[in-house]
Amino acid sequence: MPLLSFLDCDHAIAKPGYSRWLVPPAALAIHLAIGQAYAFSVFKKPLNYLVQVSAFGGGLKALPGVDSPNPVDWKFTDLGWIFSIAIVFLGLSAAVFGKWLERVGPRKAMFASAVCFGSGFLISALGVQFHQLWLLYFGYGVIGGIGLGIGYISPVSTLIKWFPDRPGMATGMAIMGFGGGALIGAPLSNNLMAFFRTEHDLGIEKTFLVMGAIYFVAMMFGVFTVRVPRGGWKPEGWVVPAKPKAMVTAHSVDVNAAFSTPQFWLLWIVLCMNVTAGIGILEQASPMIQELFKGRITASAAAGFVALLSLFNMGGRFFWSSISDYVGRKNTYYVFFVLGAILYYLAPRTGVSGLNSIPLFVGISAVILSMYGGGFATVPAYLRDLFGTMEVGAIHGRLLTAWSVAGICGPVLVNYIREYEKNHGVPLADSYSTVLYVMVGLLIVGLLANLAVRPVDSRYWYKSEGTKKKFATA
Amino acid sequence: MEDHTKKTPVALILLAWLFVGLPWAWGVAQLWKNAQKLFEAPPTAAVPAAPTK
Repeated sequence: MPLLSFLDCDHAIAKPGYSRWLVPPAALAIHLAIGQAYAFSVFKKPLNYLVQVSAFGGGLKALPGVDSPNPVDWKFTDLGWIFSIAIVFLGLSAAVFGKWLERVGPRKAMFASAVCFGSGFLISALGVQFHQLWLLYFGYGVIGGIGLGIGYISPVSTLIKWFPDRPGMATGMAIMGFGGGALIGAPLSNNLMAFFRTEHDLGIEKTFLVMGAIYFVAMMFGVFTVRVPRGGWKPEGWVVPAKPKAMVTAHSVDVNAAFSTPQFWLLWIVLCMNVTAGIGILEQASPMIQELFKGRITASAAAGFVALLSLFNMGGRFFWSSISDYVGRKNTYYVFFVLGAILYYLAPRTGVSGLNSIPLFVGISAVILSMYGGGFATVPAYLRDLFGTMEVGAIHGRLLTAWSVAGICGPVLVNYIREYEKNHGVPLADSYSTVLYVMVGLLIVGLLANLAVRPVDSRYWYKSEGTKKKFATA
Repeated sequence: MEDHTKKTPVALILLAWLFVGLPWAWGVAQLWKNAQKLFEAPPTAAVPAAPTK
């Protein structure tokens, strides 16, 4: 079909004169859209009151402030599974479809992502209309989750190929978009729900339909704009360093071969530990600041604190990945683990019983969250340094399983430690110290894994480089 | 020899960045508004009225 052939990799090869500065906006169009996933929680409360409002009207404010007042309404715990399924399918699809992406190129992958992510909303709208929760699990969770996974990895290797001089900055920019997606998604969802709300309808179904359409169109901008560089292309005035850096390979490794290298698994540990530790503070940021500074921080101020952390999480993605272009990826992760461990250790000491300094606690948390985001954004360039550009997107996809594991382990670890401490009579404010000290331990594990990373052995190198791809691999 | 390669117009690059940058800036502004709440002073406890002379 002519339309589908437009999506082929051959048709996406850039003509001479194409500016590489069009590629980051294309990548951002995808990542800003799929980053909406982090804002899905804004739908939880309205979905929780769906039947109640339809039956009695009056909107959310007219309802009593208890969970699921109507027995047939969906429970918070059941609704929580929608996001969890989506994140699991993000990791799985990134791992499974990575190799396919490298074969078909970014344009077809971005299109597949747009179709999946957009349809996820449409199927979910049906789920709301017929009050079938499984349709939301299947729509937003499974189909939307697949869109998330393919979309997340789709621009990574293309950006690295367009910016061989600044791979960290280029991928950091896109991954910063994923962090920024929630910033657009949350107010957009709230505004649309407010617009469509009537006495007997919370407007969720219409909001899903409109958001599906908006995100599909936005992602199609990425599909139409993205290009891959021609074979042998390099930035004007840029020369391949005659003496490559010790940790940067000039060779490429196939995704299956990379999967069997110790380097892959060491980086898997590095990412998993960094993310688990970050989630540790992200999960409990609001109650933690209120407990550490009891009586001085209101719930509203705590919400402001969480918002501030989101800004640092997003900004850190660009800042640290750009810095890594100059200081090297390994050194950047050393900073994350060493500085991170010190800051996690100090954080509980800033409370009322210690230094009693809110600005210090906020500052420490902000730096920690910037390094959490930086860990996500710097890892594609780290993979490129170790495994080359040939299948870096596919390798990145498989590495994202570390995120899925951390997404489950982080909150479980935090909640179990706190529960254990609570049952043993430890005051709430002190229980945070234990959690943060455990996080210090995780960061030390990550530090040791990073320390063990060495260049990939030559037996793993792809032997017939240059013949595999029509577009640039250097 | 003159180079006749058709280069991407700067305006097009700018438009592409605006397409993603404007909604992003809107999102950041909304978030910043929320973050401001952290810097607001907590409500003060009820202070007993000064005795009138």
